[in-house]
Amino acid sequence: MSQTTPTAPDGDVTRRSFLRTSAVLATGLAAVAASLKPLFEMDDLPSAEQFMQKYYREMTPADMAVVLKRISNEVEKQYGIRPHVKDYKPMDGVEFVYALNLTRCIGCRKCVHACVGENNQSRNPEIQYIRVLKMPHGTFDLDKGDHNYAPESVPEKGFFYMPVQCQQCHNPPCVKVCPVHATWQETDGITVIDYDWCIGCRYCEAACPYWARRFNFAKPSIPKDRLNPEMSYLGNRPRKKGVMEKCHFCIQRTRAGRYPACVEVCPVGARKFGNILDPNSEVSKILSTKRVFMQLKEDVGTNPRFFYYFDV
Amino acid sequence: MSHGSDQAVAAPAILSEVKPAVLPRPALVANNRSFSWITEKICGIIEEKTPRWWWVCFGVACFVASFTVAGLTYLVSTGVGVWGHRNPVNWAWDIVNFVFWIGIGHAGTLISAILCLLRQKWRTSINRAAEAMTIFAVVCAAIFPVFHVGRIWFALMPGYLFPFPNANYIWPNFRSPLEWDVFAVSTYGTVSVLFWYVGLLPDLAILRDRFFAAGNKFRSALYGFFAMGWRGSNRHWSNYEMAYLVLAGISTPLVLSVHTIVSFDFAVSLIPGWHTTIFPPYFVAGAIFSGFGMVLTLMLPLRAIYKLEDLITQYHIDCMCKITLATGTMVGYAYSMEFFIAWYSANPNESFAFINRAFGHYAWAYWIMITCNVITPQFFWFKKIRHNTALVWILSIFVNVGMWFERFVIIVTSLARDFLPSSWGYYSPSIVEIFTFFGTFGVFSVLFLLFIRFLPIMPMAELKAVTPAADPHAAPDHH
Repeated sequence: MSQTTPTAPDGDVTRRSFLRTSAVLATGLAAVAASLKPLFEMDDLPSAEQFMQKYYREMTPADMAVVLKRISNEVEKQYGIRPHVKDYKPMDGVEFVYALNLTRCIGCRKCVHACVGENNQSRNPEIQYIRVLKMPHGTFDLDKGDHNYAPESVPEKGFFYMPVQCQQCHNPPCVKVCPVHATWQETDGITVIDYDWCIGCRYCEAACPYWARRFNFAKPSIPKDRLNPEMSYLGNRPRKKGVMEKCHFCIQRTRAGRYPACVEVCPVGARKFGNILDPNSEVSKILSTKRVFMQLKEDVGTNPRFFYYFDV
Repeated sequence: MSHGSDQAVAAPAILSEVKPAVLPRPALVANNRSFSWITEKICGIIEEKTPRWWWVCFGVACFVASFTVAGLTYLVSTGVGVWGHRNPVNWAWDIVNFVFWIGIGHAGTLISAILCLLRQKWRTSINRAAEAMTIFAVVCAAIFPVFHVGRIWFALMPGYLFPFPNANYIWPNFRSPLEWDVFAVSTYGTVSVLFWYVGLLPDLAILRDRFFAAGNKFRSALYGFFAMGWRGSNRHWSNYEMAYLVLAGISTPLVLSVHTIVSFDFAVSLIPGWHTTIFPPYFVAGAIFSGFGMVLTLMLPLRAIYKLEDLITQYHIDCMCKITLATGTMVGYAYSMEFFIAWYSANPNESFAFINRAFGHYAWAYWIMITCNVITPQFFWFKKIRHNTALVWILSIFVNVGMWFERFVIIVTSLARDFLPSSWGYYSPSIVEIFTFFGTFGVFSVLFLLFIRFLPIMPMAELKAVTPAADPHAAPDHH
């Protein structure tokens, strides 16, 4: 760098060149300091233990117990609450599907907020798995959909509402493109993410035709009193900066025999959830008797497990 | 392959009837330069006192490179959110810059491998620098995919992206094009370095001997170490030629494969505007186009500074311009064919994606791309323009700019306007992102300046072999 300094013809440093060099150096140092500052404030680097962790599907129950303990400790350290973290496994003879009644949905977005609370989504920056589209009556032209509506009261006259979340595809493009096998489809149809394995390349998000995946572009933050302590490994445990997340049909609830949070909270009963392999389940009956309008974007061949239907 | 009167005795009678025009081939080393002139010229660049312009450029390049270092440090410690990436545009400049730099690298392999196998001897004056450019471009390219991930410490761990043999047979996902990229780029980088290094061996030995004669023991030992005991014996030359040929054979498929695989990142995905079969050939043509643009951008100033007009002749510039013209026209054809397919497929998403490119929010970027990539190279039809070095240099810069915008248009417009109109967005870069990209030009320049200063920028032995003196019994235009 010293060679670039303007110098007097005889090689002496002039007053002007000295001042100029000092100013450039000071600005440079300030810039370097500013860019280095966050480096020293990093507190979310993985521990050695996490580095040596095995891949999810090769972990023995004993390995998993160690990992769950580590996660509990991390959560307790960060939030001051001892969580109950479990690794829920898929049940035999169960394949979950979702059915959503477009006639009933009023666009109140209660599902969005129940989901945020249940699944420990970051509040700042905000991450939400469900987006509700406001659509004018008489068309399914998604060009007309708007997810930024904010009226005094819903439903507005002349509109219907269409919530979109992860469609839990039979043929998920996101799983195919993950370079490290950090996301896969389980036997009950839920596509899950191992947050400890994800490297954060965002290819799955680019591949998803539904914008169902959410990336932690910055360090997620959840108020301590808002943390849901009932956690699962593949589900709602707090995520780190730089990993992908998405709707997992509330794995910590549904694999324990309960409904997803969005189903439970829906004030108009527009959301239905259940086991498609059971012919007597509610979703089986809906899919065989109701006018099922569509799987979203069925032309791209993803074959979702998420169905939209009408009451007629 | 000589023409004309010197073989009239053996020539068939028809020749005397049709009187074929005599087409003299231009000399590859002008002014009948001697062997020693070539050695002095090339070694002189390294042996002279470091020129003042070099220090100035090096200082500026280091300063610019520090932008990348600072930008990446800030990125890793803060999160990918410091770039302009948001939902739904989660890939933007990172992948644009990656494809841009890796594309630039393509000319090096093309020149060194394919032109070598096709015996295009004009490659000798430019191949060394073009190969160096390839390696440095791969270095710059590799920065982006490595650092754009959310958790670089895992991405670099063996067992995640890099396969790591273990007892449980856990391998990376070989179905993911991103994984193919890991192999494509690392293979490309490795083979390029090997090819470059093997080609350097005889020249390193020349430098070793010259520094030894000049009494510079340290530099002599250093060059000697890397020359690996080269003595120029017949056996050495024979092995060398064979190794060089084998490496040329290995590199040739890489010219096509690397950018094909990079294009698969997009073509394999479902996003409208990405999901097309034309991508691989279109990307390869574009990569060679951008690579030759960069070779011209680098070689023309070098030629002027070091007075290399006898080695990089007008004929060389003509050849490079013509390849730029050919590949630029292919790229233009691909652009129009994309529109045709969007219409012919009758897929509304596809048609929309292309109409949106040309007339949507990013239309400005699209028309910059068309201007620079389709219109600019057409000037090279004209001999007058090809012979105007300054103009060729300016046009080559346009090619570089245009090819960057091509990747921007492909990646950003498609993500910003995909299937669900509700998930549309607009992307604009953050200052950190701009600085990081800007800094890679510094990284590239630092490496290239070091290359100019410490390594022979042209293969001396090969240059000597294409001079008339190397083949005294041939016809006057033989080479």
